[in-house]
Amino acid sequence: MALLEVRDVTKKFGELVANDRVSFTVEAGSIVGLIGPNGAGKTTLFNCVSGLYPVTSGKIFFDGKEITGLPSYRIARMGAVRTFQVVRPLKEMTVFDNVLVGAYLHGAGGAQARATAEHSIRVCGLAEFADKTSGDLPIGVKKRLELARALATRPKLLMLDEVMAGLTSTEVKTALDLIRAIRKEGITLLIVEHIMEAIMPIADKVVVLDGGVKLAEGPPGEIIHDERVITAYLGEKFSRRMQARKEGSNG
Amino acid sequence: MDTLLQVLLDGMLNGMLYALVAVGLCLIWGVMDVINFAHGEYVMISMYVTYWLGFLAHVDPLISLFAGGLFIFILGALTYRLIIKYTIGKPPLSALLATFGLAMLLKNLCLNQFTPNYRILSDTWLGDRTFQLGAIIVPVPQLVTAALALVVIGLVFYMVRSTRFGWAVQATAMDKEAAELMGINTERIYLLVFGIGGATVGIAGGVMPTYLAVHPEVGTMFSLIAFICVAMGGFGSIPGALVAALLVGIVEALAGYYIAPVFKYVAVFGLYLALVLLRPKGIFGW
Amino acid sequence: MNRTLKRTDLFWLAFVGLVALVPLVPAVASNSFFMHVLILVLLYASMAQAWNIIGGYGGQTSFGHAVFFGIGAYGAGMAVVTYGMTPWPGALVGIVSAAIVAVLISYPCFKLSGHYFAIATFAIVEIFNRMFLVWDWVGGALGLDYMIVEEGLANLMWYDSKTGYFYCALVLFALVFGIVRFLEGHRFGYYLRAVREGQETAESLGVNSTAVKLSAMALSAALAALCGAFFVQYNLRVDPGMVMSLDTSMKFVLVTILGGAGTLAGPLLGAAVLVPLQEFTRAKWGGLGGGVDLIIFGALIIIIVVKQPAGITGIVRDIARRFGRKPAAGKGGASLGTA
Repeated sequence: MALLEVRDVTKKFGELVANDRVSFTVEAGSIVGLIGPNGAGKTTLFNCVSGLYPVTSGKIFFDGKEITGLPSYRIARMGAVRTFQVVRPLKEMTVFDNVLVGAYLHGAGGAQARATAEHSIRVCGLAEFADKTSGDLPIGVKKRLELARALATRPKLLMLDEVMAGLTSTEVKTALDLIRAIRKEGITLLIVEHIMEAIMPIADKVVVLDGGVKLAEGPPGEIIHDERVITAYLGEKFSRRMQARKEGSNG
Repeated sequence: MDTLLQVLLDGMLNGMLYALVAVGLCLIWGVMDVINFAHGEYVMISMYVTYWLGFLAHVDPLISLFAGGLFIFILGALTYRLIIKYTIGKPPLSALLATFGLAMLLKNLCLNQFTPNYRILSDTWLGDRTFQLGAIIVPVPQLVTAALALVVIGLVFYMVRSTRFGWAVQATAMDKEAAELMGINTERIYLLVFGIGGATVGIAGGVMPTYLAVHPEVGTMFSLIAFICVAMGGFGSIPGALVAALLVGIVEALAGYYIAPVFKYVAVFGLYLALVLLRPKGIFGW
Repeated sequence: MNRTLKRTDLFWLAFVGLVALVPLVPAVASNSFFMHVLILVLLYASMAQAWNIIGGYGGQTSFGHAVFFGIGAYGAGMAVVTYGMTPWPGALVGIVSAAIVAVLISYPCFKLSGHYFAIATFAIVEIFNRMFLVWDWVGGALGLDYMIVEEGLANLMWYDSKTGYFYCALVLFALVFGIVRFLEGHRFGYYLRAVREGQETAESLGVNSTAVKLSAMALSAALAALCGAFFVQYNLRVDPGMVMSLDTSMKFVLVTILGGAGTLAGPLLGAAVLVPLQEFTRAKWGGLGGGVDLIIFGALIIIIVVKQPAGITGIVRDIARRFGRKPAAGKGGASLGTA
């Protein structure tokens, strides 16, 4: 049984349909990428799953239980934790205190929570910033903080919303290593990403959204050859040209 | 039935006065998101200006209200320049507490200089005049005040909606940075808005000594009622403030007459709580 | 892991040091006025610290604490005056009632944002004020006047010297500050500040923000009521204007903000500076009936709010910085702006 199942989820804002009967699953222990052009509805879907938005219709199941319509703090407590695309540090608090807030979710007492926080900070390379006020830090550090804080909650499912945006290629490589390390700790990952070089190498499965609708769902190797995906990303004209070239070289 | 109509009339006329006091705050709140705790004290000071002009120089409030308006325009502009300007980027509590300090300062300054004695201007043009409308007695000073309020509120509304200056004000209210990028001098806008807001209150205070007693404590209640009117009406909405003020005036009059005078404000504040819990952004809020 | 505790531990050390010295004071001070000021400092510091829980750490600016203060005062007062008991059961009733009232009021009001919330709290104070004015059971406009009872701790009453009151105020102060210090270092304190910094963000980390805010409000109200109970025992009378007024509510807010909201020491610093200022200017100039003390007070509020929004703790921090000490980022800081 899948750890996360999204079933026919539709989200409307007035007349605007942001998500249109989207369905997919995330198996435990896997890394699933959620990709698609701008405005495809990826973050909206995230917000529905994490409980920030109520869905217009459809159901969502996590860890065998239905979570549709639950408040976000309940979903987080069940083990599905997300990060935000536009980072949200708890500004007046230090980096350590930020992560500690996450750690307190499952850390029994102060000592254990502190230990979890320290571990999370170390894994994400934030040790030198631990005592600094989080609001004053550069964006790259804030992104790592966002991740460390979510990690400290010891989630079953970690949902990352565009963690790579704005990183240099070296930083992307570090982030990828971090993600692999997280998976090794047994955490399942659902990652929204824009940068293909970042998500394709590590994802077990990729779900493609466009205009609110799911186009495809499958391993990266298959997806890149899927015609609908190519059309959505590259446009019809280019897709036909590519098709013609393919037939030309076959014939 | 006649009593009811009388009470309603008195309430509406009072409501118009509240509207005049509230429109200045509505402008200030709408444009710079500042709650001016000293708003009522502006009223009080303007009342004193008119009173002293009337008492010492025998100038009638109908004339000296312009002096009151000008005086508070300057006071408002000074308040902005010396105090509010420094609270703009900061959380709303800053401006609120700073103006609370200002209110305390102004109130006690007047207390110290003018003593807490109630002062009444006798011998004004409108004086105690009334006329009969059927079985109802219409007090002339309040009626003139209400008409004046309508004119002033109408002018402010027209200014904000239809003049070039007003558009600059609206732009600044919606997005200060964007307005600056379009070449609007937002500093000057803020200064003028505080001044104009003050001026409207100055006019209100200017005409009130015709029928209300002047004393240093008179401002506090006006502050609270102005807040209530503006909040109920909805952030930044002048028509909202007017409607809310009329509502407040009527509810206050009805509660005062049919229940007990001490419950006047219980009803008003209760109205605020009930309304704002049903519509958290006020009647016309955006 | 102690590194983030260093700064507050420094203050705590200073506080403990002060507390150790302070019991010696009555032996030294025969001056009744001086003792009076000291007692008021401790009371106001406690009041401010109670407000600090929801207003500073929690970031919810309530102007309604006069209501809780008043409920506590009337609770104790009614026990003594109306029912001829000791004040303790009345104080207990007051504390519990205040907490309940706080939860009932805040639950709907927390839906309101910014200024709307602040104005709602004004409205509530005014409503309670008027209701108490006409309510005969609590004494109406005349309030409650204490008669002479037996001195001592049982009745919490002393007539000849202020020493008894002083020690009581000290215990009150230690209790309130101790509670806040405890919360600051444990999960509730972290959750409360997280809600202040970003409610949605906190919820995404598993924090039930509604429960946290309501608990903070209830605790804050209960402690404010406790202060009210002490107040009536010291003041020997209470009426609606004295406790259930906007001016009283502003005291809670001003002392905390001017001292430094969201910090442990802020309420104490605020009270330690403002109360003597208020009492001395009132003694010197207030008698002219011209509120000169309040003119100065008003000007002071303006200056501090405009110049140093982090209050006195901010001023202290700036001075420390100027002398070269590296400021470790402490637990503090729901300042009015970034300090």
